Amino acid sequence: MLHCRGLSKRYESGNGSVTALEKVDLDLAEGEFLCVLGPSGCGKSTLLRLVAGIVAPSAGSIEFVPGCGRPPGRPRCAMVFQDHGLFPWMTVLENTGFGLKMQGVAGKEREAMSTPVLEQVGMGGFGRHYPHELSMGMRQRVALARAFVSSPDVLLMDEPFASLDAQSRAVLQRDLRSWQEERGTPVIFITHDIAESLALADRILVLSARPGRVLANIPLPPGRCHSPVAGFDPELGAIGREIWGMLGQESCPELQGASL
Amino acid sequence: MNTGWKQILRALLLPCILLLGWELGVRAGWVSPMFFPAPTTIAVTLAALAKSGRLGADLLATLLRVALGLSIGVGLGLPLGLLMGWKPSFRAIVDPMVGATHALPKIAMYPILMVLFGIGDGSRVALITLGAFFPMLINAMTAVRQIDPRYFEVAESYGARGFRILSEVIWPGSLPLVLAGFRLALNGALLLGIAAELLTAREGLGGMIWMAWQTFRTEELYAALFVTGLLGVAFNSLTDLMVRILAPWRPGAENGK
Repeated sequence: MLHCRGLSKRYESGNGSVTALEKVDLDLAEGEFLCVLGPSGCGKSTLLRLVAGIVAPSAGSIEFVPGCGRPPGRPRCAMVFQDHGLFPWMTVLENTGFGLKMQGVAGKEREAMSTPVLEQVGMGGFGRHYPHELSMGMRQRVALARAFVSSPDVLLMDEPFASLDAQSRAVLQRDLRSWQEERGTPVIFITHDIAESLALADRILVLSARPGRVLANIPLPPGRCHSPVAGFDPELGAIGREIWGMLGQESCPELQGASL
Repeated sequence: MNTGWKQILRALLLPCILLLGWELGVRAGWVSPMFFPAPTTIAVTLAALAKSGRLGADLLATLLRVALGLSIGVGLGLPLGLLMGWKPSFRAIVDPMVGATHALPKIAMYPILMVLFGIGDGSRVALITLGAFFPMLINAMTAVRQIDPRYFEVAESYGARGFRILSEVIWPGSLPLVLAGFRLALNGALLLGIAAELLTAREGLGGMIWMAWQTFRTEELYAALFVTGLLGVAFNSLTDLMVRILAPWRPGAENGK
């Protein structure tokens, strides 16, 4: 449903230009959970911004073909960031309804639509609270509710759990996957954590160091349990070691040939 | 005891000790009542001034000038500052001009303002406007520039553009610092209002201070200073209240930190 072809992005600055992404092809199927892995600075976040339409590509195309008879066009995106990006001046309920507000949904209706989603992510009693009154994990739950309630065509996540403690992260990974499957929303999930991508993804896209190019496109076995300890499974473990090898060479070329 | 009352008592502790020491010093003859009239004498003068209606008239004259100048200064400085913070290209055009004029002591511009607006209330209000305009403008600009770019990105990713960015991100995101700027604007307006009155006005708190000085009625001088000080305290309480009502999300705002 989402097809990106030959996406490139160059940033021009005072002392020359920096190529962040080079000829990246990316496809996303209905309901698919795609993890994008890569060394830091490889343009992973740029890729998300291109899909979201916040940044225009230097070359390449993004084509979106919705399933349900809508004409092709720009996908409606919802983004979730590492530091949650909740507006500190809005209550939990106002934050959750923000995407709907931008779509022109009236206040009463926004509240009616947001409340059940907040309950689903376990934040039912916190509608009138401000973000600074919540823990990091709770804020990230609200950010997820905000993303889900606007029923986006694609959910874009930029290392959303990177600053959480291990326990909250494991619980949120499990919850995210079950909510995502329930709604059938396709996800592009950026991470640098191999174990996280093995636990969550249907497919993993490995990017090279800057400029980011696609190194590998690895489908994971379907129908498995998306548990945080997925990496302990021998088949997934082998895939994980393979990715480690690729990324190790990318981030530290002098390690070439070393076995991990 | 209620923590609110405790806080008020703490705030009153030091002034009370000071006033008590002052009163004792005058009564014991350690300081001259010519230069330091006893607090009780000042209080009696204050009561007499209030009763005669002079104090009320002077206070009202000052308040009206300050309110008018503040409204114009904030009305111009706030939108201009927000726009300068939002649009770097606009900032590049206006900023050098602002930097150059802001550096001038405002009171030095009073003669020019009198030439332009006449020696009456026109030039006084113009001077007060300058006193409010610059702090408002500079704080509003800084307020917008310190907003985390992430919030713009989130809003844009959900489809916000143009006016929506202004109403959903720029205005609420800058509000706490804008209110801090409003507080400075209020203080600047009062400062220049009193200064202008000292120089040219017969009525108003500044005029009252100058008159008392020229006729060497020190107890009236202190009474006018006391009222001016109270006005400053009242203005600060007003802005505190505005922050609590308009920007309740500020961490700590709900428990008065």
